[in-house]
Amino acid sequence: MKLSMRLRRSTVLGGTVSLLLAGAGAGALYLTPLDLDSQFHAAIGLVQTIHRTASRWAVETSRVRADPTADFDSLSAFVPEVRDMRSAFSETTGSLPLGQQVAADAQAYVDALDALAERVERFKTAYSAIRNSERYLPLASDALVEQALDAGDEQFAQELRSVAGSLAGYVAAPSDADAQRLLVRIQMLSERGPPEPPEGPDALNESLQSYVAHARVVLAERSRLKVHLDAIASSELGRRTEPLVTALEMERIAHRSRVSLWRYGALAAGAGVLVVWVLVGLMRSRPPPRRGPGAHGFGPPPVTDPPPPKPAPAPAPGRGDVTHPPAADVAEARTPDIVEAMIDCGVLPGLMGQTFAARTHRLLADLDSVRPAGESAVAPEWARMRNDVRLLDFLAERMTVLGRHLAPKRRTDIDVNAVLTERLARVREVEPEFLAARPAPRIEAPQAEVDLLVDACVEWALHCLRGLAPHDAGLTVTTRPYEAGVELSFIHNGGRLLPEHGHLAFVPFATSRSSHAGLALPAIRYLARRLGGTASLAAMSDGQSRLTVQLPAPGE
Amino acid sequence: MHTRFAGAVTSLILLAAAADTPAEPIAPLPEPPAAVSFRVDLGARLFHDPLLSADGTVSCASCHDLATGGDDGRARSVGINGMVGGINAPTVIGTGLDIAWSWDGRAPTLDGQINGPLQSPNVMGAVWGDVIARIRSHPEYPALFASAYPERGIVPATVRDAIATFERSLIGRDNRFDRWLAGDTEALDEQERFGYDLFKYYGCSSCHQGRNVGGNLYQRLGLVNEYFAQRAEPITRMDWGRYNVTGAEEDRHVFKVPSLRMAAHTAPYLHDGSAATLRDAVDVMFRFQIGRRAPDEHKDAIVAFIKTLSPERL
Repeated sequence: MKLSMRLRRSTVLGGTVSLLLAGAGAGALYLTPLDLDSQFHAAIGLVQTIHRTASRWAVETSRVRADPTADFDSLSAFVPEVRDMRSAFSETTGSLPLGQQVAADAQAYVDALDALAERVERFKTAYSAIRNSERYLPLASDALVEQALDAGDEQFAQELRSVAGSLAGYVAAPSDADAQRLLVRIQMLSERGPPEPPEGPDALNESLQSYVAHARVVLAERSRLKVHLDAIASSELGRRTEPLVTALEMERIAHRSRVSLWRYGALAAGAGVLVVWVLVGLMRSRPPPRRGPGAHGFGPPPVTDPPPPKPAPAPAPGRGDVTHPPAADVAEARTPDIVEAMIDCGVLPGLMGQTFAARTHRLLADLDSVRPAGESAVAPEWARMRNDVRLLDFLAERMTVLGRHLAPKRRTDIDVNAVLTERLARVREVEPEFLAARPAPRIEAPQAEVDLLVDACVEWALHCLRGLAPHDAGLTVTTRPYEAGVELSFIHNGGRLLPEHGHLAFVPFATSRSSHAGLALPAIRYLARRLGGTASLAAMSDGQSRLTVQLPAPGE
Repeated sequence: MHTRFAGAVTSLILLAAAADTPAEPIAPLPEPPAAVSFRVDLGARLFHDPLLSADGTVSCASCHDLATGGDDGRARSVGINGMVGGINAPTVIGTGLDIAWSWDGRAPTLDGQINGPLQSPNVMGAVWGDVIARIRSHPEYPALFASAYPERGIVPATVRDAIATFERSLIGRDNRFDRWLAGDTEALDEQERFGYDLFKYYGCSSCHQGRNVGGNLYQRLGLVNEYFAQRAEPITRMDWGRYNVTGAEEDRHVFKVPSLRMAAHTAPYLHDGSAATLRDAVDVMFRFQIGRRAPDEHKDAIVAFIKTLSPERL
């Protein structure tokens, strides 16, 4: 009952922990990692807003360009607006887990916005420089032409008209080639000097130099102004907006998929842990079916298939003192694996037993694949090893069957004396002595498991007595109540546990007998624990060994 | 003779221009932006408090004295330990309307501009850590900050914000030109109105335009004729202008066009303080920026007009 309660508690605890873990993981993933849809939408919205603002800015630039008296306040008003949007966009995209390309695109978008701002600023500078000169130059040329005509210098007046006309043409459609040609002509005009006017040469010369200076300003700034205006009108922002919006949207979808994968993966992992835990718990707590005597297989395993090459007389086969022929390498490599699996599993029925059996099958196959020739020096060792492995394989199969047939737990009231009487009646090898407690001790447990336990204890004792003559072999079985239940003792004189090996008694495969597998006592303890009891082995002073199994009484 | 001829031509052009250009390049000053009064008051106090400087002798108001037009009347400002700065301090009145701050526009925000003089060793020589410690240990500032910035407290950002908020509130709206723009035909006399027409005719308004009559673009000093080639003083780094910010050769000697809104009270003029009077500044502009000759009466009229942009009482 204690065992059952413990198992139940273990399952419940495990399930609860699994649920908590899965819930916490999924919750953390759901809340924190990263539902970033709103940030992605904000970034996309900012891109579109920036695009619209930039478009308005470009339109306003054109309007200002068309109005020679316009102020620049309207263009300047965009600056803080754009700065705030830029800052918000950089902050938003900076917080998003963008791919390298999209992050680069976002940065390029910000750079394009900066470039637009720079262009508008330079447009203002260039435009403010030339709009005054553009207005001034026609007036100045008219005045100069008039003065040249007054002075009778028709040729100078003609040249001035020609330069003024070319300048007007250049202002309307600036080109670098025209600018170079005009600069040369203006330089020549400046060097030729004005005619002698009635007012005196200095004033007119100063007017001419002023005209030349303004013409140079126009020639220097007009082409820049065109470049700036073209760049503003066909801003890179316009080209980059749609692809960036698409890229951000794709990134949002991809991120959402990743998050979903993480979320559902975490939930599935949590659920998986829970299911595995519950299944393991169920398997470990499933009672064995009621079986016929000896069916559990804890006696000496019948080696049904003899080893292919007849083994030569082997040296005393103490486990672990084998030499290491080449073929043994396989077993050497596999054995820890198998032992570890068995120890991990306790005595492992069910799935674990199947795992163990699969490994022993594999080991057998490996050994068969390196079978030495009959005359080989290592052939006897190979044969002995294969026999051992076959033994292990047999045990694994039996234990798997045992696990598979553990019956559902249905507790019944059991008379322990009756179970022992029934089992001992079938013993042929020795004359067992049964000292039964009166009144008969009773326990409440699955019948099959109690049968199995009693069977295992009797078989263990008989196996220990093997080799002794029937009249020398002695087996005494007792039952007695103790404070928490019933105690079963199996005392035999078939060999005594050495004190230094006491800690190994219930370790799987630990045995001092070459004919034993070392699994009976671990199995007995396993079964006793399933019933909420204990099992212990003691060496008695008269050379006998005593196996004691204590099982809890009903209600304990 | 030439001057009379030029004057006649000018008058004809002005008449023609007036007929088809109803829009004015200058707009009236706006109302100061809405702001939390606690912050304006706190900023005003910080603005005038020498506690912000390293040795407790220089405040923002030391170089931007509101009683004298928002500057210090010097060609070069004097900072802590009597150290002379490298550039003429501009007025702080109306500065909130500018596109950027400092002559070369190195500060894109007004808040950010405050870092410059506060940390400059030639001006206030302070470090923010010390400034914040002094403000926090002040008997009155913690309560004022608690009212103005209950969530953010005393940090460099709130100090800057308070001062910038106060500076944005400084707008000299009580001026005759804005009243004339609003329809008060008597607000300007004949010379001043003529000066405004000349201001537009000669192209001053190409750069000095908008509600702040400047402050919203950059332009090269010496646009038409070289300014620095004729200046007696050697060229310093401060003369490089916006080149110091962008590193672009085309920005060498380019400066933010200063506002003329407080020009009547903020002599000397130009970034190097080389123009002692407003008339001197107008002369420099005609020679190097406009590249034209103008009769003295035109320049006087323009000076008269510029003075109407400033409030008569400070």
